[in-house]
Formats: sequence, structure tokens, C-alpha cells
Amino acid sequence: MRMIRVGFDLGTTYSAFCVYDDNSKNVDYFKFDTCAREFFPTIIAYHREDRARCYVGEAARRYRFSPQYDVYDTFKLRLGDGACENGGRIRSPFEAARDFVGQVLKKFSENRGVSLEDMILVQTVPDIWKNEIHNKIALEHLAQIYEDLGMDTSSRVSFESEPVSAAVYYLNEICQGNYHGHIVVVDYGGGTLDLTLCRAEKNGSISVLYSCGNGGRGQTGCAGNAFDQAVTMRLASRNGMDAAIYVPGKPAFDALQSAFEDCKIASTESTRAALENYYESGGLDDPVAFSVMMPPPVYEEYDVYASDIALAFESVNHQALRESVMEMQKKCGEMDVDMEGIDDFRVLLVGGFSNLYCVENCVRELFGSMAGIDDPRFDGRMNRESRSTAIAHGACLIAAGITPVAYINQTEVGFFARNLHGQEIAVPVLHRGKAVKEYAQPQYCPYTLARTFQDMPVSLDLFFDDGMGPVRVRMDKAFGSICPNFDKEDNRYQIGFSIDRHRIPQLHIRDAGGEENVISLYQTIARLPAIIIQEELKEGQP
Amino acid sequence: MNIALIEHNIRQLEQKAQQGDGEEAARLALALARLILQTPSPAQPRNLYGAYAGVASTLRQCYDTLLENYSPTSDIEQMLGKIQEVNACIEECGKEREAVARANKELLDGQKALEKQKAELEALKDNVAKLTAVKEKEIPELRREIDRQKEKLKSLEEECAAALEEKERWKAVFDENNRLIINLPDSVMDQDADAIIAEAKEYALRARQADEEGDQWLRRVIGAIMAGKERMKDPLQT
Repeated sequence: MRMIRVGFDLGTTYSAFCVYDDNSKNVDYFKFDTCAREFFPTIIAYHREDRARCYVGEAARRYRFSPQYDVYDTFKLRLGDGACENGGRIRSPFEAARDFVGQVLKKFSENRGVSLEDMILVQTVPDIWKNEIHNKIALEHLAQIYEDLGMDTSSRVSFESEPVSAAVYYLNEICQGNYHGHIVVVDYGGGTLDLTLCRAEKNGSISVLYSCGNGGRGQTGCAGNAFDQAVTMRLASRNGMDAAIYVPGKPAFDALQSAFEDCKIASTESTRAALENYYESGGLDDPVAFSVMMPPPVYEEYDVYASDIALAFESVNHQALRESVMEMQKKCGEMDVDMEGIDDFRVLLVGGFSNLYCVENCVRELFGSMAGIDDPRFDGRMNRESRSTAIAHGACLIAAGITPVAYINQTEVGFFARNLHGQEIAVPVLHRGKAVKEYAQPQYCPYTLARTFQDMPVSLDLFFDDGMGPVRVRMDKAFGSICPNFDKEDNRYQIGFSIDRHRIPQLHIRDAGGEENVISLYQTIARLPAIIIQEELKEGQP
Repeated sequence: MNIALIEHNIRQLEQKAQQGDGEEAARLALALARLILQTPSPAQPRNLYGAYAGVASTLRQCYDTLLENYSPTSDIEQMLGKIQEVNACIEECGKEREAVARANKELLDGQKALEKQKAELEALKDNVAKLTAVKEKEIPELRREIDRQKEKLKSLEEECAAALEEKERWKAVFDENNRLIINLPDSVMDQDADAIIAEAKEYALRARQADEEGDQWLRRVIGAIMAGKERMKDPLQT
């Protein structure tokens, strides 16, 4: 049986699912809705009484305001919370995500007549997840979802970075493999802002060098969804709508926001023209970008001015975008990347929200460019459609094995120990800047720990450092619970670390008899009790 | 300043101009001028932008004129003439800049007037909202009227149904008559109406006469029978 290779971009607001055709060597977009778009809304709707009536995508979107249905969206932003935290609703974001992924896979396998066992799937994830404490565990929750659905995550499912997948798409489909140099991917979607620096090597592979951004938190994040909400609030307030009814989370407000979002997507060109006039006139010219038409039975129409869009962007998104781009530029400077080179430097804008004129304008300005300039660094071939689908398309190419991706480790991991003078020193085991694949096997520290020290059970303080200074993980009594044969009085332990195929750091504890326990570093933070996470204010190195 | 980017754009500009795409060349020239000055877009004063547009437009005109008149064998006199034309264009550009400045002032005044109109529009919107509220009060009354009209419609429908039934009955009668007319012998159909009426009258007269004759005959018969009866009562009379 031939394996089916698929790429799945589970976005905060929209998702896309691609399949690689081995015969034609083309990538097809799987469209399970009657709508003909390449992407579909990340929404799931459960009928409150009839369990068989559960819809995803456009179909689920129809029931957003129906009291008969329990509807979930933007659950990706809260995947870090796990299955137990449902925020007062019937299902947790974890469960909603699991059912959504399950429904999409079911529809695909039914439509194409393939079973899940015959699939090689690449699921994309925000690169920024691993840089944020509350989101570190999200990737493991996603892996758990695939395990729950019966897919083997040790061989059939892999998780690739969203910006890196977009870069793979750019290199293969836009440049046909004819570009070598650095690429900064600015992935700005509905929920997260993800910037990644990678290098397209001459052998056709991609090395991932650095990433930063903002992963968002809670219901809206700092990206497209937050922007939509901010503009909707402006509309409600300017048109004198009842402030008690038009509140985020209430149906009237959500209906207005939803209508705004539909009209925004359909009016990208008129919005662009209006914003060009607005910015070029220094705000004196404030044309209508488009009108929001409310569906029946309201039939109201509200004008959205260029200033509404520009000011909402300014208040919600501009700072986060500016700070992340500047952080990336600082890192590029440290790595001697020539950001002015028009032949070997590219800035790739991807994600639905990057189609907003303000986003491109801001990024261009920070890179010393501007609208109207022919700047090869901002490749005009990455059009509106490509920006929305590049990630799923690239994931599919990775699944097909067309572009190998090599990641550089960006998280220093180790533990604290005391030297002969009683001073605490940080002992790094996994170093930043090394290739992740070098850490596939555990790296053991030569020191051994006794089970007890001065009749007290021994403990261990781990640390990890994403580049913002070390974060201490105090294990206390929890340490004993993960040590093999901890009841053996004279047992001794060796500590080691590795990085698994999903780029998650793993803690290895091996006892004197050679028995080993392995647990993910982030699971120790998220699940074990009595662990304190402490930000070290001073430099951690001795 | 990204020199590589500027050089790239100058090359693009030259290429566009050589291809005769003056508009695109002028657009690039304008964008380049802005890039070089690096004035942040949102803070850029309108009049400065207007001046750029004026300069770029003049540059384009000059370039087009030069391109049309350019020939490798042209003499210095001709070139000097062109230079004077260019100088005139530059002077014109200066005037245009002043005109743009004046236009900007007018625009600003217009903007203020627009703000005022916007405020008036807001007031009008309020009135509309109030009117809408009044309308909402009238709705129950309208509903009741609708219900009354509905009742009326129902009775009209019933009447209509009865009338239809009547119509059907009459239609049956007419159909029967039609059938009878169609079945009349051709001799009847060939005669005109007056003749038929006359014939009918004649027939009626004859019938009445026959009736009367019959009557008289009947009376005679009855008289004979009665006389017979009387005679039977008194056989002696015979």
C-alpha cells in the first residue's frame, strides 16, 4: 500500500489541508466543504442533544449563533491548557481541537478512501510556542491528540514549524529551488505572530537559525483576531450601539465581528487603496475602506474608514510586530546576516493577517523599504492567495520528503549544582547553536547524585534558557517520583538530556543499575506537583 | 540607507523609461524620492507629497519630450533649445508647487467643512433613530389592522368561493344550452332569427288553435258522455 503524504496547517482562525500527488508531483488542496476555498474556518459546532450532529469548517460557522449548538473557535490559542481546563464550558480547548482534527481526518480518509494508518502527516505548529512558558506544553498536547486519534506520533506524524513550512513552499514553488540565502519569515495569522530566520542551503535543505514573536494568550492573542475585535469595538461605539449588548463574547458583538471579518477578507484591495491614501495624506484623507453588511434580519450597513483600520492596528498589533521584527534584526546583526542584500536576503510575509496593508507597510519600513519601491527582498510573487496557503502547502512538501529541514537548538538546558566551595553553578548539557539532531541520543552528565544527602532526600534544580536568561525548575519532592528505584537506599542517579523528533527536550534519569526513566522537560513543569518556576534575574552562568 | 536597493530601483526606473513606460518610471521616481528622504509615511505632510508628485510629473513630461526629440546627430543648438525648454518646465514646476500649496490650503478648509457636515450627519442619524423608535410604537396598531384585514380577506374568500360555485352551475346550464344549439338541425341554423321567431309564433298560433279545437272537441265528447250518462239514468228517454 502506497503511503499518502499530507500537510495540515491548523490555524487559529483558518486551517488548510494539502495532499501530495505522487504521480503528478503536485500538491492538491483538500476542500471538504461545498465552498471552493483552499482554507476553511477552524470552528467546531456540537449539537447540544444529538451527538451525531457535529460540524467543522464552513458548516460549523453557520451555527455560530445558534442556541442549539455548542460552538468552539480560537481553541488553538489555549492548547497549552490541557484537557482538564475548560474555562467553564462543556468542552476544553484540548477536546475541541481533538474533535476538530479528528473530523478533518475522518472527512479526508472517507473522501479519498484511505485509512489513517496509510498516512504520513506533517502538522505545522507555531515556532513561537516553544519560546513561551505557557505554550511549551501545547505541542505535547497536540501530539496527545494524534495519539488519541490512533495515529503513531513516533513515526507517522511529525510537527514542523509554520514559518519554516512557508519557507519550504517559497523555495520550491515560487523560486523553483533557485534561491540560496537567508529568509526571515513573518508569519502573522489570526492568533500568533511568528518570526523565523532560516537559511536556504545550496544542497536544497533549510536550516532554521532563530525564532521569536508573540504566541498570544487567551481568547484573542495579538494578531488578526485581536485586530478584528478592536475594529468591531470602534464600529459599535461610533454607531452608538448599546455598550451593554455589544461586548466581546456576547452574540450581538460576535455577529458584528464575524460580519466585519467576512467583509474584510473580501475587500483586501479596496482596503489597501484606502490605507495608501490615508498614510500618504498623513491622515487627512480618510476614505471608506469597505462597508460591513449585517446579515438578516438586521440589514444594517456600517462604513469602515481607513482610520478605523489604521488606529486599531496601531493600538493592538503595531507594538508587538515592531518589537518582534526589531528583535529579529538584532539577532540577524549578531549573526552577521546582511539584511540589505537584495540578492541573498528575503522577507517572507505569510498568514492571512499579513495581507493587511498596515502589516506589510510596518515590516517594510523597519527593513528600510516602502510601498511602491521595487524591493526584491519582498518578493511580489508571494501574492494574497499564497500567503494564506503557503504553510499547509510547504508542510505537504516536507511530508513528501522534498526539502530536508535541519533545526538549530535554541534552548540551553541543564541543571544547577554546587562546586567544592559550595557555590551554585549552572551546568548546561544541551547547548544553543548546536544542531538538534546531535541531541537525538541522551547527553549524560558525568556526575552522579546520591539518593539522600545528609539524611535528606536529594532534589534537583533544572534550568532552561531560550535566550532571555535561565528559568529555574525546582523539583523538590517531585524528583523522587520520577527516579527509578528511589526506595533503594544506596541508589545513585545520572542526569541526562536529549531532544526528541518533535524537538521537545527530554529529561533522562538513570540509576546505578542502568534503569532509566524519561520524561519531557515541559511535562515536568506542567504536570508534576511541587515544582516552582523561577525567573533568574541575574546571569545564570558561574 | 540601502544603496543596493536604491541602485536596483534606479536601474528599474531607467529600464521602464527606455521601454517608454513613462508613468511607471515617474511612479518609481516618486517612490525613490520618498525612500531617499526616509520620511515616515504617516507623518508626511500633504504639501510635501504634493510637491513630490508635481516634480515627478514634470520630470516625466520632460523625459517624454526629450525622448521624442532625441537623435544621435542632433546639434548643440538643438540641445540648448531643449535645455531652455527644460528650464521653462522647471519654472512651471515651481508655479505648480505654489498652486499645490494653495490647493492644499483649500483642501484643509474643505476638511474642516467636512467635519462640520459630519457632525450634522450625526445629528440626522440621531433623528433617524428617534423616528425609528416612534415607528416601533406604531407597529402593534399596524399588526391589529393587519389582523382585521386578514379577517375581511377570509370572508371575501368565502364569498368568492360561493360565487365560483354559482358560476360553475351557470356554466353547466350554458354548456347544456350550447350543446342543444350545436345539435339543432342545419335547416334551423340556416334560417335567420326573424324567420325562426315568425315560425315559432306561427307554430304557437297553430298550437293554440289546435288546443282550442281540441278543447272544443273535448267539450263535445264530454257533453256527449254526460248526455249518455243522463240517458243511462233514465232508460225510458231512449
